Order: sequence, then structure tokens, then C-alpha cells
Amino acid sequence: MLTGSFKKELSSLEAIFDFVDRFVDTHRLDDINKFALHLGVEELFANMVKHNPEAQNDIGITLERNEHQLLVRLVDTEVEHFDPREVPSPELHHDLEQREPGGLGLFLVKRYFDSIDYNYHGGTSTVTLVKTLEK
Amino acid sequence: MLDIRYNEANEIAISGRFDITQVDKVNEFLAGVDTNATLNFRKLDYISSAGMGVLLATQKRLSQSGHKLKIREMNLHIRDVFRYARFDVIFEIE
Repeated sequence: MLTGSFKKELSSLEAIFDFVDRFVDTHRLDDINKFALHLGVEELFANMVKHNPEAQNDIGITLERNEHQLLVRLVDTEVEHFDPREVPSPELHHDLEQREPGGLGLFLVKRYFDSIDYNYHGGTSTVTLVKTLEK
Repeated sequence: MLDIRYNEANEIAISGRFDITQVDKVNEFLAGVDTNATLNFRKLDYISSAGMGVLLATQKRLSQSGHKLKIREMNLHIRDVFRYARFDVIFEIE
């Protein structure tokens, strides 16, 4: 398990990608899982920065691997309720003129991970992603 | 980290990691494109929804004047994420 704490601003992403890469190297994960972890962590972190920008506390990130699964957990404290599962999926079948990028990030997270869980308690948002490892 | 520049073939080569922190840099470069153009992704390792949003907005802008972006040499992971988002029907991909 690897845990880290990152300042709540987009410029933290450089350090966050390094943090994810350390985890990937330690567990010798393949490029598909590395891509999924980068995407999952970036999209959730960026959402937390955008939706509660006034909250200044660091965001905690935990990465964990067990025999069959990867787990990603982000914890954001002293924030308003924001459940990423409630973000509507984008209209992927629209023509180019009608396509909008909104909602694409969380749609992709749901595509790369098997589950996304949200818990809100006492002003703390916890989002957990789980991805089953292929044998 | 991300680099964007014209290569010897006059394609726009984007390399590195196209995450949300690189949106302004790529937007600024692509704002100077006003005709058909080819993006070369040979050295692009990663793209997130923020990066894809920049490409979508550029394609929409160019389409208003009858032009478009074409993308070449994507790695398999980026090809997958484009397919999931149905960007493979918005962009011509070689």
C-alpha cells in the first residue's frame, strides 16, 4: 500500500504521477494498468480541485494492490457533498457539432475501473475505485 | 511534461503526457492552426479527458471552415481511450 498527501491544486499532478509511477514500478504493473491508474487519479483529483476550490486541505491518495485487485482511494476533507457517480454520461453518439467534453472524464473512469464508490461523512468525501486484475 | 512542435513532415508532434496541466500550452499552439492538419502521437504516452476536450474543441472550430485534424501513430492505449469516447468517429485516425 502507498499513501500520499497532495496540495489541492492542479500543479500537484506532476508529483502525483510520480507517486503513481512508484506504485506501478513496485508492483510491476503493465502499461494498461498504469494508464488506468493515471487516468483514474487525474480525473478524480481534478474534479476535487474544481468542485471545492475553496477548501485548502490536502487531498489524500492511497493506492493498494491485493492478489486480484487494484484499489485507488482519494480523500478530500472539509468539502461539500459531490458524488462523482451522479455526473451524467456524455452523449457519445452526437454529431461533432453537438459533442461536448463535459462528463467525459468520469465516464472514462467508469470504463477503466470495475467499481466506483462514494462515501460522505462529516464533511469528508472519499472516492474509491477498484479494478480487477486480469490473470 | 509535454512537448508540441511541427516535425520534419510538417505534422504537429505531441509527445509526453497530455494531462489537464498542459491544456493551456496545447490550446495556445493549436489556436494558430486554421487549416487541415495532422497530429502525430507517436511519442504521446497518455491523454486524459482534459486533453481530449482540447482536441474536440479544435476539431469543432476547424470544421466550421470545412477543415479537420487527422491523427497518426497513436499507441494502443490512446487508441482504446479514443474508441471508448467515440473519438474514433470524430477524428480520422491512421
